[in-house]
Amino acid sequence: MKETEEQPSPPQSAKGEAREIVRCERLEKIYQDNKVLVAALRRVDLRIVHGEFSVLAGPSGSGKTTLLNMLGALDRPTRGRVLFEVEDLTYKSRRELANLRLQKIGFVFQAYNLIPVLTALENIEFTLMLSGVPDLERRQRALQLLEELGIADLARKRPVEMSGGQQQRVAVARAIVNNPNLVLADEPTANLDSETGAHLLDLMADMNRRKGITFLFSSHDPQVMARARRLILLRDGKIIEERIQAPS
Amino acid sequence: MLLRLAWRNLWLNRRRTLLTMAAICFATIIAITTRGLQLGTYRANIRHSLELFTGYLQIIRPGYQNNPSLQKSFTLQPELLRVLASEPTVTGWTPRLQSDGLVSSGNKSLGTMLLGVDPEQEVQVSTLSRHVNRGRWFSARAAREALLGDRLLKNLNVKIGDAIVVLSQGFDGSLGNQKYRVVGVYETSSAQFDRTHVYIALDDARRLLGLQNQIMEFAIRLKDLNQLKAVQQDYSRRLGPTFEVLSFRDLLPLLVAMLDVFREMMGVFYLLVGIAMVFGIINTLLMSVMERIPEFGVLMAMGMQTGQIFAMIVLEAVLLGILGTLLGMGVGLAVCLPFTHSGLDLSMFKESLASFGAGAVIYPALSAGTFVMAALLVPLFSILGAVYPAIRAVRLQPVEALRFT
Repeated sequence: MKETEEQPSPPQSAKGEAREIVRCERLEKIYQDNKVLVAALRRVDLRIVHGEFSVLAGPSGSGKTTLLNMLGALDRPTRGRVLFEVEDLTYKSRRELANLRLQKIGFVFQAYNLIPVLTALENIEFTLMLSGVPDLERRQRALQLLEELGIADLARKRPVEMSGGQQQRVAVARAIVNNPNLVLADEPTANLDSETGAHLLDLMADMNRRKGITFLFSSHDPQVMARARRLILLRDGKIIEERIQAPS
Repeated sequence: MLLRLAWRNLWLNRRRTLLTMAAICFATIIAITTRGLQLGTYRANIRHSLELFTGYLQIIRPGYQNNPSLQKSFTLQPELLRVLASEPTVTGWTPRLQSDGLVSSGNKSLGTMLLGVDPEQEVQVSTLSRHVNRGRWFSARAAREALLGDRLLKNLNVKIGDAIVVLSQGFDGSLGNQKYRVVGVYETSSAQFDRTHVYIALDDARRLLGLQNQIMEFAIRLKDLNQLKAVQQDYSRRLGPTFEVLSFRDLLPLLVAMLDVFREMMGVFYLLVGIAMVFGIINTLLMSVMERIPEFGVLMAMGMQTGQIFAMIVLEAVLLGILGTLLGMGVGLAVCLPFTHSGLDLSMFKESLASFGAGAVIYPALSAGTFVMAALLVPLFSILGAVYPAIRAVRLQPVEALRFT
């Protein structure tokens, strides 16, 4: 990583405001658990702008992952709407949502979820393949990213041959290789020890600082909450508090 | 890359994949060997019938086939022989007379088909002389000699050297009878044929039926079966409407129809094997899909379209099908190939095969068509087997798939 690289300034609107990536309005999600209706989200309003490094925090069952899934176009709300770069997702088809995820959103999961039969390099290449990047170019880009993240030695390894931390680094590489506007990370450090988790957060913070990639986490890991610049606290499906803080 | 992913997914559960592949391989072997045996039997039946009895082609009077009466007999003319000799692929021809008759010995009488042939010319067309297993082939001169099938001999309770009396209706409607001495016995692979046919010399037959020098049919043998149609057309054109030129297919409609029915039955059998294979593939792929539900969730989250997921699962099935088929083709070929030369000895089923008109030794026939059929159908069945598991996979919602444990 080059320390001398300048931090890109977040794109701004004509009024000088940071560009909005995703917004939800009066978002509600009600699940049916057997015959019981469970409200996972209750009229949530949230706006994420370019360059954020934010965390959705809260206890289990507070609605963090559900909100993350809604913002990531993985799930549809019961009521309310999600706007991704001002485009309303409510009436988008399954195909359009898949395209949106492919081109603009990266995901990092708690359980890493790399494709087990592909090597680290191929896992990263796979996203580029879905985007229609030609063979040679995608190989070069994937290799370059692995080197940039300092994990080039993992290129030929399959997930089963890597530690959890290594897998999660590859998962981060996979999430950002297509230059997404937003990376959603669901409890990315939950399966890692604190030191490995810290390294992973360093990596993501670096990507945020140097490349201006917007990160939104869901976590109840104090380490993650401490590193975020914006902390959004949820409880019982509602945002109960928002804090802008200096990351540690 | 999708192909690479499909290929590797296939080997996620090596044992299951190998078992399914073995099932596909086995189905292919069954299809190739049974098809080989079927073709071999089909060809043997046809060849047996045409070489023993009908010849490749026959020249007859129009209408004789449907109404084989003595009134349809004709005289040998030099022009006819010139036409016959003009085709280089014709290796022999023989004149024949045939009529229904009653053969008796002692107090036993049986209905038979009486055949008057020229013993010297008959051997150029028919292989019957090779089937004489006792006594001898009869002589050309009108020596009142008869050749009987093995089963007819037994049914009449006679032996070589014994006399038989043949009774038949002559050209003028009167009943003629003659006594013949049994000089030889033949045994073919067709029990029905051996039970019903009596051979005598052409001149003896003419005398019995009250004919001068007429015959009823010319049986013709060709060097090359592939020339059949061309020779038939050429003869038909040159002989005009006075004669009818029929191929063995026209002369043996029952046999051809029976073999066609048999072929269709085998088609049903292949279909059943295919259906069993489809269920095997459904089972394997469905288990594989169920095990990989969270993975499909990740793929969907990454932006993979449902069509691509569908294609990936179908590709897995096709790869499985192709591998199993190739293996099955190799083993099927290795199993069948030696028997195409040495034949498969089914003597233990001799009786039932004989009633069907087939020999105890069957030579499987391997045709390119069999392999092309297997190469096309098995992957097709594989695709069919993949459809349901693939639908299950693409119906998943990303969030539900990711949450699935």
